[in-house]
Amino acid sequence: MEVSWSCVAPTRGSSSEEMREGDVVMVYLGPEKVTSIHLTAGESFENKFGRFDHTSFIGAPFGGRVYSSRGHWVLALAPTPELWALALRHRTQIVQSMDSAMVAFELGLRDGSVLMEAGTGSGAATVAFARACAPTGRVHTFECNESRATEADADFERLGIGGGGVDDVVHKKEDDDHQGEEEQGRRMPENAANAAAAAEDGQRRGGGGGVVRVHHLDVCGEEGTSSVEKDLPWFDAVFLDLPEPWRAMDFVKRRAKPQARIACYSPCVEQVQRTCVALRETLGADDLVTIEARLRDFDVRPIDFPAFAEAAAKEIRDDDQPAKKRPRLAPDTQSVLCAKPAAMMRGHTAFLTFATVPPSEEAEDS
Amino acid sequence: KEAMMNRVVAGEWVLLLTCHETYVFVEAKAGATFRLNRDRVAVEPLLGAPYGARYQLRGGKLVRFFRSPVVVLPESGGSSSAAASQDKTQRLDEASITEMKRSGVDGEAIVESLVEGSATFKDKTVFSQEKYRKRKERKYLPWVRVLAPRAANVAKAFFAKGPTSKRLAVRPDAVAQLLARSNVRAGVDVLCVDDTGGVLLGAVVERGARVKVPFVGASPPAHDALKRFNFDKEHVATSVSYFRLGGGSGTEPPARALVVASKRDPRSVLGALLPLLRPSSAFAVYCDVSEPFLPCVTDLRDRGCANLQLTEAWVRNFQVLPNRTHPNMVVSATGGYLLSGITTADQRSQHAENMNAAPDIDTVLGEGVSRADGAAVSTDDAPR
Repeated sequence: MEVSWSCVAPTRGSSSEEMREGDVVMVYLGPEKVTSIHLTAGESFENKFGRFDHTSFIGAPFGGRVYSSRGHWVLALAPTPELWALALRHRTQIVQSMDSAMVAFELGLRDGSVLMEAGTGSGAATVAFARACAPTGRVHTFECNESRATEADADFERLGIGGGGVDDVVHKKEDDDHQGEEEQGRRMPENAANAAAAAEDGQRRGGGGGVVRVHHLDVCGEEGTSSVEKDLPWFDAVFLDLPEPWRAMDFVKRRAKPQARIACYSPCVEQVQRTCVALRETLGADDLVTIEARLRDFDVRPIDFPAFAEAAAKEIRDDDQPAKKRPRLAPDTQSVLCAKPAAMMRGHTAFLTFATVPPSEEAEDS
Repeated sequence: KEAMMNRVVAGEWVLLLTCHETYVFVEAKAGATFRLNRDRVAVEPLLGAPYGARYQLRGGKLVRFFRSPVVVLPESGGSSSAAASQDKTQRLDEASITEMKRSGVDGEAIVESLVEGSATFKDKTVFSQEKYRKRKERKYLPWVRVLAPRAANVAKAFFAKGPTSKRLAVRPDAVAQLLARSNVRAGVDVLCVDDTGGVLLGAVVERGARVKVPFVGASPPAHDALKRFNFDKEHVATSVSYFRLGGGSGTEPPARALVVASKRDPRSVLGALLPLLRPSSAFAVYCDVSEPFLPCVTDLRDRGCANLQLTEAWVRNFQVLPNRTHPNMVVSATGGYLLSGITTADQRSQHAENMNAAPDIDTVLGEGVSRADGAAVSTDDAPR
């Protein structure tokens, strides 16, 4: 049975994994140098290695080399959320893979989980969460900025994890307010049929057929969103990456299940403090944990250590030079394979605060 | 909304977090007990308890309790200048307290008596008073919280227990990284080598993957932790299969992800298992120390792996309270090291011309440019 390829969906049944038109392919040029292409016959792209026709990718295996017009090659890799985060265009500051990995784990995301994410931003974390929740779970991601919502939705569609177009709650609400407008919101026409079928699917799906559903809605909004909330499912987990997460707490309180796990991502201490107050006061959460996490990279390479003796080389070689350019080892020089810490590291991304919505209060038994 | 809640079911494992920040696993069955402070406590009141609920020990029994988490801002001072040596400031002596306990006085009443009996209590700062009260409560009115048995909590519980001769203790954030960087996901075959006692295996099963566990020797390592997740037995039976390495898992399709937390040499683990992965599959390996990874990286560069990363994670907790926000005093010093990458279809060994330096993809990609036009390798192609 053929299933569409994506980093999150089960892969194709065929024994050889060939790239096909319509696939998203990650072009690997080197460490942290990854770009993405959407295979379309007739298109091509250029980089320092030459011009690459998309047709040379089609039919070639994932993980293999693809050659340019000049005879040089790049690696074509299957998309993963981590590669996607390296390649995507940053519309907003993205959530680093390390942080989204921690959130997915702490929130207990698994196949079947229903997650609320606000805001969508560039969608890097959304893709990572979709991987954890797929194929039966759902990621409902809320973005207040319409063009960001549209761009993210297009990305998810291409990756094979989206579908249904942007649920334009903002305009739907305006339509409701205007009573009797024809417009159903900005859904793409071909998905109207999908939407109808999906409506029967039950609360969890919230419309559309993919794992990710993008909603154009400001969850911090002052005006009540209750008229449109009835179409939303109950959330098992919530991820807030907002400038003012405390303003979304009322929305979370209405839509999150009891025992739902919450994660808030904020770069500034002041934001964290106000968020913690809101978690305690609005949700009644009493198990707050705030952490910061960082990754240190190591570069593995042989480094030479000449002996402190006359016979050793007069010069100490520069070990940042590529291997081929280094002069031969002198006697009494140790070449040691080392894990050299990278000189610079990311000093800070954001603080992560985790909490749980308490179980509903019941009357105390005797 | 109440109907949606998950609760402790008879016969299942229960994970408790005590007021002393220790973890306790106990079975939810008649007659089961666990130790809290110096008392043996019956598990029975926890049957049907919703995950997240808190229970206090009162009159020798666990009783559900609720407390508002709202933290009140202190209005004004008090100071620590009045503090004297602890011996002299408490009116109640050891014997009186013991007597109160023996005659069944409620823990809360004991704490109140201690508060009243403390000469310096009223002069302390509000923060100090709160700390004092909490300390006395942990002693005379201890409580436990029922935790959901999901991977994050089981990982914390096992990490707190520490390593044994048979079992690695992997910090929970390392488990999180292992899952993400190996691209474990539902619906695909994952190879998993787990010497954590089953914590990693449980986390992979929780995500929904089909797991194939290779082992060497007479029998696979014990994965007792798996039971603590309370997975449906049939689900585990269909999701997890063990196979002996070299026993020929021949006809099965190659796996799409490899995740390893083993006490064995990573170089030999990768050497044995990478050939069982499809090209463009991710793998992630954990080790307490970095040295065993170094020859691995050289090997992997020879094979032509993409996106090789060797990392160490640093994690710090914060206390966030009004006027008292600061990083925690006690912090874990290490979460081990993680090596991850993506396999390629490429067998690079035939290209290794220069024996001094393993030509990795990055150097060759750079060479590609210089060969064509004779120019030097550009600076942004420096080998990793």
